[in-house]
Amino acid sequence: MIYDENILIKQARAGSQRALSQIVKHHQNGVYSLALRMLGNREDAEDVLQETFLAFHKSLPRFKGLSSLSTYFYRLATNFSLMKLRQKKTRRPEHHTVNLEEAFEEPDKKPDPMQSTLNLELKQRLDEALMQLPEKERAVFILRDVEDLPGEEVASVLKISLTAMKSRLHRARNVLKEKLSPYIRGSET
Amino acid sequence: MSAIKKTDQKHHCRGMGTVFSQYLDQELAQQVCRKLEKHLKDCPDCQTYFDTLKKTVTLYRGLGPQKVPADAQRRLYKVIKLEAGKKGSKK
Repeated sequence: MIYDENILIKQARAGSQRALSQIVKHHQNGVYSLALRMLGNREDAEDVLQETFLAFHKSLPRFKGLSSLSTYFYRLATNFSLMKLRQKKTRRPEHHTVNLEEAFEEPDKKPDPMQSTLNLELKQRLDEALMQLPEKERAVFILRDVEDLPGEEVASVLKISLTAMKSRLHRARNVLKEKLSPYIRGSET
Repeated sequence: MSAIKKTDQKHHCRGMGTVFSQYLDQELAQQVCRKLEKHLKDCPDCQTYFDTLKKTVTLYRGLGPQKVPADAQRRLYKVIKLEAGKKGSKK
């Protein structure tokens, strides 16, 4: 099926549930993925998923389409994720916990158990390191290096300059490299 | 390598380090690229540093997107009134 964003937005604005459904289906994994990696748990990621598409649904009559839907959804999801992190900080100091069994469940695949354990351990290390980054650097890194968005789009999502984006990305990459280097070197021997 | 030379080398490497990220993203001008590649060849410390940085980024890039779990998707569609077969929905 061809996904034509402009046509679907028009149809959704006119009240088509099918068009709205197509838009949601097309973007839901990106939004969920970003939220999961920003927040580190499935429950909060699902909240952000719902908040993002609810906000879009509500704003549809006034939606101007100044940026691509991808940029728009990533922006909403990042903002909701950052808000959630701030709310948690003000409520009570909390260590980030990553529920890996939930976060990385892959129900469709039945891989080799040994490989599965290695993958899980690797993913755990990657995620733990990610959660230790400052929130704004984490957002840049996830959007650029995990979600694979172009640098210009990352800057647009976060409403920061390209220079600021590159600076945060550079810092984030270096911090992660430092945290993971013992493991990376160990795995090469 | 003498202590003085080692200090000079480290200072020089710090300057090169700032461009590693851009090199990874292939954003450097050709001339700067060549300079960096020559430096990497001559400096095992920087080569190790760069290899680890590259491996780190590659591992994260390999994570890929997470699929929305089926139960979460059901709840999402319910919330925004997109349940399949919902009465009164336009096609």
